[in-house]
Amino acid sequence: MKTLNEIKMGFSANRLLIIIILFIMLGFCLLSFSQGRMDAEPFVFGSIVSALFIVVYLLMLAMFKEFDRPLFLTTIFLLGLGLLIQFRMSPKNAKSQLFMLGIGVVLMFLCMGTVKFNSSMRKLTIPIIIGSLAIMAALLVIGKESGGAKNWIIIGGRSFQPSEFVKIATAFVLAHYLDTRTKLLKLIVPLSFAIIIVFLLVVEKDLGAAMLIALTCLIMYFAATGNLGVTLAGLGMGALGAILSYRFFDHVKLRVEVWQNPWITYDSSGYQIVQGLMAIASGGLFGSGLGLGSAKVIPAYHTDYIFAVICEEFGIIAGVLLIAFYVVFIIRGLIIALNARNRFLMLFALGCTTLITLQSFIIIGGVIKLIPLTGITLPFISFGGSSMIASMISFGFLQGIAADSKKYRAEAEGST
Amino acid sequence: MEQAYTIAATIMRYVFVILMAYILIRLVIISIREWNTHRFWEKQLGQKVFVQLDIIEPPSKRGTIYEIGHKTTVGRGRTCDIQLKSRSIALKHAVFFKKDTMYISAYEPERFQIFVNDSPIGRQDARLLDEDIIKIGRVSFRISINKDDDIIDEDLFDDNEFLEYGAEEIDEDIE
Repeated sequence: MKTLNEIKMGFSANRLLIIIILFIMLGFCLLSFSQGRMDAEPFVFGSIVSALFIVVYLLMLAMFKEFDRPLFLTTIFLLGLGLLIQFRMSPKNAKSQLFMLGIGVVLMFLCMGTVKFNSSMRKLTIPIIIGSLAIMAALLVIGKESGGAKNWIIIGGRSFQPSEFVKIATAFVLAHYLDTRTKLLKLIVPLSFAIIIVFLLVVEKDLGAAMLIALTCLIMYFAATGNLGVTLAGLGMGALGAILSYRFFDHVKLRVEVWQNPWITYDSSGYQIVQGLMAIASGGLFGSGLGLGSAKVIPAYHTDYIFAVICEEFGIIAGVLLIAFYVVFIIRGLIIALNARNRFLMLFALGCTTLITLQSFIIIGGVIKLIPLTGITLPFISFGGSSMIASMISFGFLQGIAADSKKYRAEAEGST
Repeated sequence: MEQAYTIAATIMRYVFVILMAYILIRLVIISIREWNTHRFWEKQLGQKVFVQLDIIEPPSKRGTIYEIGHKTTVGRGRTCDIQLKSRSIALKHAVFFKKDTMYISAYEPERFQIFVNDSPIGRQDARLLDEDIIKIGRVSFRISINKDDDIIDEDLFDDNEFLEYGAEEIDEDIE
């Protein structure tokens, strides 16, 4: 039996999806005239994106009708905005991104379906640990360097970033062990695993991912055990690690110095930060207009600095609203974690939510010069196949856990 | 055409911001509605059955009362809702859950058995009735299932014997 609220919610979700599709199509229709003549390509691309979102929504309703609608709509909006802005900057990148999104959608459905087999999945913990360590160690030998970090692998002409998937693996491993263990000595396996992964990432100069995994581990540990002392000790060790990195790694020193005052070296190492800040400022409150900005002067405008591009073209208000969307994502993720059917799923949901949350705030913080810049992507929006697929996998697990817990509750309600 | 596009893009920037704000507000409203629905069902389930467990064995722990929720785990581990520190109890030993009435299930029935009225429940979910005696390890409970909140004797809670969630030491030699 549905309550009136639940029926209203269903209609609201459908209407909101239509509004989101309208937003996306308006953007692509506008881009169709951006070259001074009618160009069908943006319109066709926008139609494909909209059709994909509608199909995914209908499939979710058919296969997992208890999925979390607010989280789904939030993610759809972020994906739509990301594809719109990527197409604006480079249609070729947008098409590649759409292809990776397609793969991500398939994996999302797979992950949703595997949640109900979570107790069987947990038997794969040791292979996951071994596989993650092996791939991260292999990067030291066969990894390709890009953007200062040696964390890319080329497979079939495409480059992948294994650290994106190792993050999810770390959350999974920690959730498995923290389910039944709270004492530090009994957590020696997962903590050692996390420390080794962080160490390998630091050696490969992927400091953003290292920080992300370290913070996620600390948050999951604190949520599971409530042990403030050990958590603070972990934070302290992380801070010490950051200080040592500053002392011994030149690129870290350079990043911190540039962050402190980019204006001194605005035509060299500070160029990216300065251009990003100027792009945000030049957009004003409502932006320069879609297609009217000049964000291509910013290095890595399609990955790290996509937030600056959005602020320039859509405005600072849109930038703040974008942050609010990520806040909604966090809140929905935490609610899903709290309502999870068992402790393992609760911790895993927390881990997935924390990864996406921290990632978004770390990169936004770097772009607005709140913290030193790290080379991580804005989830669902930045260009990057590995990032897109990993984000969709996390999203899939979150939706799977949400659907599983609602189904369990529905069964209980049905028998009352 | 380019001038027309500039004008259109300039106008549309306000439309985009308004649409973003609208979508965000609607998302928050949907979330609040869902939260209210969740609380409604929690209240419905809670009102149906009020359950408590009284420890009857060992004698030193008689009088200790636990309230059982929609789903309550029992075990030696810190992660359990009812933590009983006894070597005879598994880290995660049992789970009480509400459906039409109260049920109990064992996590590891082969190694750590649960008895209801002296009968082992094995792998099944055992249905519980009012005044049933449940034995988990060396601890025995009597379950009280009341359909009406008013039946509960409020004086039971005056001496602070009531423990909603907490660690109860059964064996003196365990940490």
